[in-house]
Amino acid sequence: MSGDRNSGCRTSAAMSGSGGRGGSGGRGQKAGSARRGGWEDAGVEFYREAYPTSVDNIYDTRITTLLPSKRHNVNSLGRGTVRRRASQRSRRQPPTTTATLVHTSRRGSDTYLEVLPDLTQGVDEEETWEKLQQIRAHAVPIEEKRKLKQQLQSAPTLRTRGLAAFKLSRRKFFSQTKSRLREMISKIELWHWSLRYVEGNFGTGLVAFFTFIKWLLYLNLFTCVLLGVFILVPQIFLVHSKDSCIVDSWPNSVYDNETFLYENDTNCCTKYYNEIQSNSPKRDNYYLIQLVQDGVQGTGPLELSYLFYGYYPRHILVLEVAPEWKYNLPLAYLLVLVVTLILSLVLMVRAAARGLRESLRSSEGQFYQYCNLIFGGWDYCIENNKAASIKKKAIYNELCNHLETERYNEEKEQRTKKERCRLYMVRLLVNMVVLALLSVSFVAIYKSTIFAFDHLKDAKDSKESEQDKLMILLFEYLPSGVIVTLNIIIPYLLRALVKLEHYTPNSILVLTLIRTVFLRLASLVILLISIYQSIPACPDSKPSECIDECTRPWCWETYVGQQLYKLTILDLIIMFLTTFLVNFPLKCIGHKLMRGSQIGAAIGDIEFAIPKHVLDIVYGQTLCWLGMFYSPLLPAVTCIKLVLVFYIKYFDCKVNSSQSSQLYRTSRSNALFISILLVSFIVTIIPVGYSIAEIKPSLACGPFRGLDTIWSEMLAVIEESPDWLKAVLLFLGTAGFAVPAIIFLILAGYYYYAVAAANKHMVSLLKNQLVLEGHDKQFLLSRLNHMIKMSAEEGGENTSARSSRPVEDETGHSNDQTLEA
Amino acid sequence: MGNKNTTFTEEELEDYEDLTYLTRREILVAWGKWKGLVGGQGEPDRVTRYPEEDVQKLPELQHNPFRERITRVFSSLKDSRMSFEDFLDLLSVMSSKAPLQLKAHYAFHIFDYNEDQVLDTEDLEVVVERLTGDHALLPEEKSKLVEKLLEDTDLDGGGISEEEFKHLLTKCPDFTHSFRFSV
Repeated sequence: MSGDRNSGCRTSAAMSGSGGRGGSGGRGQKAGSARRGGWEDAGVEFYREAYPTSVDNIYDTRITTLLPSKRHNVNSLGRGTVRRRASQRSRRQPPTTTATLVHTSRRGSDTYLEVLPDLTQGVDEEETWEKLQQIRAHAVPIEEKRKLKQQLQSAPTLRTRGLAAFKLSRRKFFSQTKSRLREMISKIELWHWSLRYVEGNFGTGLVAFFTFIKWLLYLNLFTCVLLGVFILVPQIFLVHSKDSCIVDSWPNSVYDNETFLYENDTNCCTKYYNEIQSNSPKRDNYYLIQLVQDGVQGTGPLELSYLFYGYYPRHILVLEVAPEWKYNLPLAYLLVLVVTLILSLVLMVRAAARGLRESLRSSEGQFYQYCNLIFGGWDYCIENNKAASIKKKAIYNELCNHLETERYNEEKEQRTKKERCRLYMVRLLVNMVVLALLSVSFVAIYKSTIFAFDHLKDAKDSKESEQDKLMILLFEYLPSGVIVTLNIIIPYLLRALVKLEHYTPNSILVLTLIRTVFLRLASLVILLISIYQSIPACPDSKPSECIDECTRPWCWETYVGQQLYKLTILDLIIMFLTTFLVNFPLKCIGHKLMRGSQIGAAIGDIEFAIPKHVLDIVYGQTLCWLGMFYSPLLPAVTCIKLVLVFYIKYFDCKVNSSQSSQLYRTSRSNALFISILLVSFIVTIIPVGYSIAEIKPSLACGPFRGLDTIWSEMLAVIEESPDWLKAVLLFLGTAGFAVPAIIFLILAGYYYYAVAAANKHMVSLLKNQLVLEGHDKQFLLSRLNHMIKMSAEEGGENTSARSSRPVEDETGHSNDQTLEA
Repeated sequence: MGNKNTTFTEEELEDYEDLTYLTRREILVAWGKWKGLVGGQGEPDRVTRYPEEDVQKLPELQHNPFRERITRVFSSLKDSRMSFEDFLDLLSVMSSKAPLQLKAHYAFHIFDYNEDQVLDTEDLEVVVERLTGDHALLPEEKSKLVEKLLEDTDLDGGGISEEEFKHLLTKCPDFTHSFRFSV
């Protein structure tokens, strides 16, 4: 922290011998860079050749600025996105005749050349409008742009008419509305100022994390709206006929027949279930606590509310005033959920593709990582001195990291066989230890869930004394408690173990992340499996029995929904407690009470570790997806939770954490977050899909009671649909469709892979060619300089005067003539 | 900002909107900031040129290691002074809507310390030095780094030209994320 100049990286001892190896450093990269063989030698010898590329040769500078390529690259700036063929044509011909040079050597050797495109040819309205739109993209000051705009607007244009005019006006209208819409949206942007604060003080890497929370919030809102409109609103506003539990089992009115979808038997089960729920005893003394507990667990009055699956009836809903308008609620329930999941997947894949493209580009080669770091490493939005110095330190650390990785790679190649064996043995051992740890934690979660469930049954039957109440509470929260404890302890152990394995810093990060993700997701899956064990553990019930002998819950779907709801709320509470009751006091103690001491710094310096926080968020979202089917309002709960989580994490970041000395790159972070999210999405689809397709819905509640599986509802609808639709849909499910589709997809994938490989090869060929062209250019330039110098010395005053002013000329033609003379 | 059109006419605002990537609101906010930065010498107007140091007091520029280069590159007359329109140019290039080509052009000139239109060893060494600040690399580490950088990106020798730089930046996805700020 004290400004130790020229201390270099930690590995400065190893570096001291590397100064002279600069040239051979390139050879060390041979392993992964066979395709660079073409110019590797060229690059090395190049710097040793005596080509006169030094700046003090003024002829050289001026000549290079006249090269067509130097003029052309600015010209193509404005035409980058114009789709007209005319501009393609003019791009191929260098603009030698009518180009105007601006800013030519205003002050001595300042050769700031800007070339504005040629505008005096007759153009039509569309081209003019496109050019006007592209004015902003010109790299000249506003004055010049203004002149350009006036020139464009006053130039004679051909009016377009007919269809072209209509198309043009439509384009103009669209682009105007788009920009107005964008401006409106930016005004109501959520959390704009908080994000600006984080950006200014912590850099863009952390902003990516908060932007991720915002994106998830929008996704959940979208899901919420869909579910609300198609499931909640009909349930609230439309009505259905009452369930009648008549033991004689014959419906007694024609009207009722239209809205019943099941046999009369299950009516009685529903009635019993509802009665039991509403008659559960409430104690007056502990009413408030009971209320809070019910709120957190989803029991009590919440159980039979819109929150859970059990409340939704198996009826076709009708509008009270117009009984012909029917709404098939069970079908809607199933379809909307499936469609929501598919839409979420599509949105996530789109975001993932963007992130993956960026991260692939940056990991293409070791050298691009250097460029990325040096040219893109500094966040231009930092407003704070402390943040700036931390950022510099982070960049320095990353540079040292890169240099160390290189040294590590060189060292790796020099490892002896014995060392390599030893290292592999150590790695194998560590992996086995990690596996053992993970399996132990899974077994612990499973056992605790089963244990809690069994004892809960016993305790609930005999709720007599205070002690039993406490035991009930304990058993309710035992599984969640075990999961949370494991989630805190195991990552510490993993981080300690990974140090033994001697990987590069990047690999360490990725490996630890994968292992922790595995832990979190798998613990959820284990929880689900244990719940699953306790549900259909009974043989098929007889048709007239509502409940089996083994007394599983009346309504297992609601039970699952309750467990997931409880986990969500618990997650929020724990985040809150960790931030305010653990991190905040630690920071206060470390920084205020024990200020200046080593221990104080060790306690109080908490870094805002992005991977851990991302996993928290993804875990919450996974719970939402798992529970969406059993609790249609869970996305709404998750939305509210995400808003609170944003502020909790913001507080954590702003107040509790000291600046992180690790550089978090936005492109890599984006790709990472979304891919973890996708992985957890795929993991949640499997249990939900299985439960829809295989498990028998409970008899007493829900929109699917009385059916064999939930999916049979869909099958019944397909049966009733018109023949052609039925044929198509049934065909989609057969092997005759699936196998050719898979083969086709594999072929398409292989084709794109082959094209990409061919392109890569092409790129390397072109690179080699470019290098050789560069050689030619340098050679020719030097000869040219030589000749000019000689002719200048011979020609005396005249020729030297003429040839010393090539830059102020308006065109390139006259210059060429001078040289040829 | 409530003070809508006391200083700009509708035409001027539309003009600025056409010539830059800023929205109306951003232009007005920029004017407010400009007044704050240079207001010490009386009521500022749009064409007076103020010394660079005043502009460098902007919070985002204050701690930027390249601030002198930024103000120099965006000064239209290269006289170590900037006018309001130069300031708007700066904000336009730094906004998130500016295309990569435009940002790359200006970034190239910002990094080109000796102004010879190529990024050669000296330029890159100064850039690395500014980036790491107080924690400096050893000279041989620095030269090794710069040499490696040039070796892998400079295809035709003679330093990184503007074209090569632009091509290089398409492979650096972090550049678009980091080379921006907004008011």
